[in-house]
Amino acid sequence: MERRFDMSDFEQSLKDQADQFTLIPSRRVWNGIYNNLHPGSKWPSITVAIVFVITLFTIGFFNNSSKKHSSEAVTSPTAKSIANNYGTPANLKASGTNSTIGNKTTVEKNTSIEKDDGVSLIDNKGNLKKSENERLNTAVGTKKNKNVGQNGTQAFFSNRKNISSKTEGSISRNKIADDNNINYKPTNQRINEEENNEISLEDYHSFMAPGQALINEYISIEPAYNNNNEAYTLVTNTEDFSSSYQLVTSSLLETHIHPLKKTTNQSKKNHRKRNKNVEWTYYVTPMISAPIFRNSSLSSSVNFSPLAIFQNAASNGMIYHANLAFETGAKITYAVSKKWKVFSGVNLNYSDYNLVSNLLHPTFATLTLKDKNTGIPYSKSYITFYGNGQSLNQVPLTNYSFQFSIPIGLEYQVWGNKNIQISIASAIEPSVVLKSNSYIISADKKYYVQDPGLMRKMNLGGNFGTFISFGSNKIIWHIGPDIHYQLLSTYKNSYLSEEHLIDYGIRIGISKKY
Amino acid sequence: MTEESILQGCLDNLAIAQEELYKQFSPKMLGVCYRYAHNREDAEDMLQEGFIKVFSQIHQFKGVGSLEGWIRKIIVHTCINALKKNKKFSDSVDLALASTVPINNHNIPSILQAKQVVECIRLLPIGYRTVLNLYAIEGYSHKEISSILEIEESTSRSQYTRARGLLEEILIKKKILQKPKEDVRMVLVK
Repeated sequence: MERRFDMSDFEQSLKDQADQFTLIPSRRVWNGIYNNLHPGSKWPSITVAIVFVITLFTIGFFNNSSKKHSSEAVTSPTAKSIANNYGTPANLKASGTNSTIGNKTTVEKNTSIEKDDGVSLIDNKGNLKKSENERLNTAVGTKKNKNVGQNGTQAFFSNRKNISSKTEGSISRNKIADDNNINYKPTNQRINEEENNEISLEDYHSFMAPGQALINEYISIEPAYNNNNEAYTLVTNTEDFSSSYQLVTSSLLETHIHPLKKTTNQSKKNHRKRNKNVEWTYYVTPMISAPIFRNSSLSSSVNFSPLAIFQNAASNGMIYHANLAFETGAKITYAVSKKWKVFSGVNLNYSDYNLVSNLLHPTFATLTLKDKNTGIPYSKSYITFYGNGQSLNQVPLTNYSFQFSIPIGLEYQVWGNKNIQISIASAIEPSVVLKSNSYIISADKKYYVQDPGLMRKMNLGGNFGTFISFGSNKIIWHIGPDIHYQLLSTYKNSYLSEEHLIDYGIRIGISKKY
Repeated sequence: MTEESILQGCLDNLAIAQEELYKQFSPKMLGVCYRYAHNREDAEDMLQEGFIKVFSQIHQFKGVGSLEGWIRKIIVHTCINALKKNKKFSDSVDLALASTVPINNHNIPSILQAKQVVECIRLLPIGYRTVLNLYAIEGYSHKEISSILEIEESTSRSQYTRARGLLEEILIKKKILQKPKEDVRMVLVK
C-alpha cells in the first residue's frame, strides 16, 4: 500500500492534515453568539410577553365585573320605576325603548330608564297611583291576576312560536343577534359565516328554556294592585333587564360557538447558548375530576377511586359523579441548587363532573345569595326546567371549567443518581377561567338553576405531585401522581355555598436532556 | 469585505462585520474544537464560547501575527478551559492512567484523509489527545503545555511520546500509515 505521508515529518504532516479539516457549524451557534453580543434584541419578545400577560389579566378583570343587583327591589314595590312599554301581552319589550322580541325591529339597550326617585308607587289605600296605573295599563295590559312575569314569559314563548313559524327548522344565530342587537361574547364579533351558523330550533328552544331563569329573575313576587284591584306583579330591576335579556340571548349564541380555540403561535426556536440549569418539560395529565362542597348545608367527600366516574355520589339533594379531566402544559425549570429547582410555565386544565337531573315543567326556584355590600342574605328567583334527579325523566347535566393558568412552584429531588431521580413538586397556579358552565342546586335542594353571573372568571389553584425521572441519552421522562385543587370557589362570594374542584391523575412529562 | 474593514466593523460592534468574521473562520475553528471535544455538540459549544470571547476581546488584537492565529489561540484556550471545567480529564481518563485505556476501534469513514486523521486523533484518550493537539498541531512547547494543563513538564513529554506511538498504531491499523521496514530503521540507527 502506498505511503500516505512521510513519517519523518510526522508532526508537520499531522498538522497539515488537521488544518485541512473543517466543519460547518449549525445556525444555532451564530444565533447564540449574536444574542450574547446584542442582548437588546431580546427586549421586544420580553415586552410582548409582558403585554400579553397584562392583556390576559385585563380581559379577566372586565369579564369578572358583575351586573348590579338591587336587593331592595325584592322587598319593596317602590324601589324602581317601571319602564315604559314593558311587558305587553303581545310583546316583551326592553325597557325604555319600543323594540320587541322576535320582530324585525331591534332591541336597543336601555339608556333612559327612570331612576328610582324614592317616591312610592302605591297610594295610601294600597292602590297604584293613577299616573302609574295608567302607565301600567298601557304597558302591561289589564288581564286579571296575571303575573306580568307570566305575561312576559308567555309573550316570550309566543314570540318563540313566532320564530318557529317563520323559519323552517333552523334559525340563523346571526339573525338572533341582529334582531336583538346582541354582541357576541367574548369576541364581540359576528360568528364567521364559514362556521356552522345555523342552529336547529330544537336546540334553540331547549336552550332558551333555562334562559328563562335569567329573564324571570327580575320578576318580583311582590304583588301590586291597580285601581280595579287586579293584581299585578311589578317588574323590578328593569334597568338591568335589557342587558340581562341580551345576556340570555347571547348565552344561547355562545353555546354554539366553537370552543375557544387556543391558537398558539409557533415560537421561534431559542438559539441562545444552552443553559444546563434550565430544562423545558412538556406534560399531559389524564385525570379524574370531582367537586368538593364547603358549606354548612352542603358537604361531600371525594371518592379517589378510579371508578368514581361510574359511581354516583349524593349530597344534600345533589346526585353527581366524577368525570374524566385533563391537564396539559409546559414548564421551565431552573436549578437553583443540586436538589432544589424553581419552575414556572403555562397550563391548561379542563375539569368537569356530571349531575343527575330530571326534566320538569317550568318551575320557580330560588337561590339564597348574599349582598356583597351589606352581607345580608336575600333570595333570587329563577324559572328552571331541571330537578334534582330524584324522579323520572333523568337527564345528565355537566358542570365544567376550562382554565388557563401560570404555575409557579418549587421542586425538590428526594433521591437520585445518574439514571433515576425521585422528586416532589408543588405549585400555585393563578388562573383565568376561559369557559365554564355550572348548574347550581336551589335553596330547597329540589332544582338546578343556572346563573353565569355567579361564576368566577379568575381563580387560584394548587398543585402537588411526585414523579420519577429517567431517561435515555437525549430525553428525560417524568411520570408520577399529581393532584390539582381549586383553592377558590367556582362561585363568587355572593353565593353562600362553595364548590372546589379537585383533579387527580398521573402526570406524564418529557424533557430534553442537555 | 477586507480583513481590515471586518476588523474595524467588529471594533464598532457591527453585527454584519461580526457575522462576516465568523463565517470566514468558523469552519476551521470548529475543526479545531472537534479535535478536543467529545462530540460535535460539545465542539459547537466550545466554538460559540470561543467566538464570544473573540468578539469581546477584539480590541486586544494589535495586528501582531495573523488574525487567524490570534483567533485560533483563543479557541484553543477556550477548549482547554471547557475540558477542565467539565472535568473531562478526570471523567474520561487521567493523564497518568492514559496508557491503560484501550483504544476504541471505531469505523472511520474513508471520505477524506484529513477527516480520517482527525478521527484517529479523536480515538485517543482525552489526555493523550490534548497533549498531542497542543504540541504537534498547535505548536506549543512542553513548558507551555505544562502550565496550560497544570501538569509537570516531564509528564507532558512522556504523554506526548505515548500519544504519538498510539496514534501511529491506529493509523497503521487503519492503513492510513505504512509501517516502516525494520531494516531501514536499523540502518539509520547504525
